[in-house]
Amino acid sequence: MASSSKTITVVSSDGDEFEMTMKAAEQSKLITHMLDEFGVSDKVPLYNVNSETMAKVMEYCKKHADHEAAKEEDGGAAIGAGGEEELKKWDDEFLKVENGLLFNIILAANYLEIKSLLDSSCQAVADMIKGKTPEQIREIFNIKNDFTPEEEAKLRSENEWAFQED
Amino acid sequence: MECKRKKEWPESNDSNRATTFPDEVLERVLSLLKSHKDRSSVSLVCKDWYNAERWSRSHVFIGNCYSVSPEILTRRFPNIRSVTLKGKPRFSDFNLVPPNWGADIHSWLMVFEKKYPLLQELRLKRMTVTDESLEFLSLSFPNFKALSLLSCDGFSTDGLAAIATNCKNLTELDIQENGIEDRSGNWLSCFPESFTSLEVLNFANLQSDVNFDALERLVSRCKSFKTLKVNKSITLEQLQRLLVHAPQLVELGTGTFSEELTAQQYSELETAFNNCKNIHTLSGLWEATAQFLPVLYPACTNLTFLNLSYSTLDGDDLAKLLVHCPNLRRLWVLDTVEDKGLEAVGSYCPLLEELRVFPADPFDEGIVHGVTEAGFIAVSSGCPRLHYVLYFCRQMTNAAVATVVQNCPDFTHFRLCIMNPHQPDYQTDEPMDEAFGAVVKTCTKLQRLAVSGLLTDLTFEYTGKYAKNLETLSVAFAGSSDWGMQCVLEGCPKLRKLEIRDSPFGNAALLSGLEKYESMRSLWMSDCNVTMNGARYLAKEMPRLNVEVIKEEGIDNSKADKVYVYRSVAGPRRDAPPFVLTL
Repeated sequence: MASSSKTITVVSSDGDEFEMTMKAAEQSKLITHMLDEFGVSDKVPLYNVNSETMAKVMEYCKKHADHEAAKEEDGGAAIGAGGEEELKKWDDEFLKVENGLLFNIILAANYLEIKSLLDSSCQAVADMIKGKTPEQIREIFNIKNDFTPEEEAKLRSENEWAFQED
Repeated sequence: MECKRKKEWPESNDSNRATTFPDEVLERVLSLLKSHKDRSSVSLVCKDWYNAERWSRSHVFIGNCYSVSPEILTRRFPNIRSVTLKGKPRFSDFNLVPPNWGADIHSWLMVFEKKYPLLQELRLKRMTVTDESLEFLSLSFPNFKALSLLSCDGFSTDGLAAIATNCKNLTELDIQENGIEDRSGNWLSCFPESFTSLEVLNFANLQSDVNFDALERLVSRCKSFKTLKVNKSITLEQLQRLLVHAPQLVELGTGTFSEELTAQQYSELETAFNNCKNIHTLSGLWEATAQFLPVLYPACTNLTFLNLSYSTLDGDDLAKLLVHCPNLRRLWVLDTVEDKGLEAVGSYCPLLEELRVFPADPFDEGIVHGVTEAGFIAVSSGCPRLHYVLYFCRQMTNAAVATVVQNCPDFTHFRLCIMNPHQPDYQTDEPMDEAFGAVVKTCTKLQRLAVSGLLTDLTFEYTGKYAKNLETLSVAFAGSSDWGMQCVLEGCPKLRKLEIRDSPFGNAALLSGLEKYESMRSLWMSDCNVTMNGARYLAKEMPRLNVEVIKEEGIDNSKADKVYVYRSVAGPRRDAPPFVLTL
């Protein structure tokens, strides 16, 4: 792997270019593989991620890369005991965006194989689902109900009569 | 680069476009949802989500085994690892359900063997389980980890031997309050010497002696033991040796807590308890006496649940013990502690949330003793966080209950059992209607109610009018007419379980709930005034309900002695014995 002072360029689906350090790029397994395969001199096209999402993902990768680097220096003294908690708080704030962007972040994290971002964004989406009715969930995700009324009634009965908790 | 199965990608940031997640992302999100309510909601969103949810569900809870079939279950959920099943109606605890009624686990196990070979956990309540089933279970599921049997019947210790012998990955064996044939304690010796995974073992309610050496070796080689509840055959001296091997225990059920010990043995016992810093649940304590209770004191600091329902302690001894239990949240006692003991509860347990007082001699109608309304008031004064009570007593007053709920308005579970049927307020001689009226008016969060004493329809009028969060109601020897039951059926929107015995409710009452029963889990009515015609009418009008009548031999043919009504997606039972008529 090249030294961490090197940078690479990624290109969003809108055609915008973004620079990221190698260390930040390493947060994404996909980018890492592509660099291994094709080398670092070319620009890496990420046609599945638009600019708005890309900017957020860049921010995430940089933050986590910096955090990792700080941990490696002084064997973790720079981070301190509350370091992991602080990072988690940062992640939580980071994900407080409007739904459309959050969903794009999940898709990007999945595509780019950034595990920690995928985990926390999936948790954020799961938290949005908790306690909601089916109608509310459909609204949040803009999903069309493709059950017929009969199918829906039958499913509701099965859910409530057979599998409902005490 | 890996090829991943993907759905179409959103092209722009237009928030009006539908969000379609790739299957693997949706399944990842859904696997973070544990609550069945959330999973039910998710399953109704659309067909894709229904499928993602059903593939990702790993635990299923079935509150009435006859509400669904193993075929329907396995067809919908292909990846279940953990099953919880409940069988007989609750009044079977009072011998109101004849033997061989049903709820046999075997037909489920036969299907699970084919469809859930990776099954890990089975938790059963009020099911019939035979030794043959236990052996079949032990041999059919190589990953099997946890077996919990609560109030089940039909098996013997031979079945437990099969589990111990064959379940190589067992982490939990929890056998509680079952009607089991205790042939010998040898089952415990069947755990192989190579077996080290056990974390939870509860055999407190078995009678036979077990081989102590086998038990000691088992506890010493299973390093992850968290819960150990032994039976009364285990002595104090033996207990001390077990504690030395497992000081990390979180839940402990002792054996017999009284023995001739030397000073050194006593001291070793004290030390053993002193080293158990993590115990938060304590039970067993058969024959515990004042002499030995002090050895517990060092382990009581973190105690949150103390179950003394096998100890005939008196009030003084209880008081001395409770001084050391400031963090107690749940307490179960016998009424031998009397009001004095309950005063101590009020004094020393400010954080108490749950109290259960059981009768030491439920059938003794002689001298009045036990606990009274005074004890009840004393607890409520000192324990403002009390929200669950089960209270067996021989006398009560309306005024006392009103005071209790004024002190503790947050009751969610209020189960008062005045043991003699039809007993009025012993001071005023009036019915106990106002007591339960006070409960339902004051305790707006009430979910579960059991009533007793002399009660007219007024109690049920109050219940229907005020108990808007009530889910479970138990009625025995109460009410004056159909009107009472009607009030409840019409007034309690969240009612799910209604169980009634020996009360003057007949067909009109039964049929007033026609529209309601599909929103409830079940209705039980025994020795009321329902007739076969009434039951048949209900069955005809509501084909999606299972309406069953248990007929006693030789009794008047037009009466429906015991009626059990429940909703089901599986249709009528196909395994009903001859004395259960499926209408």
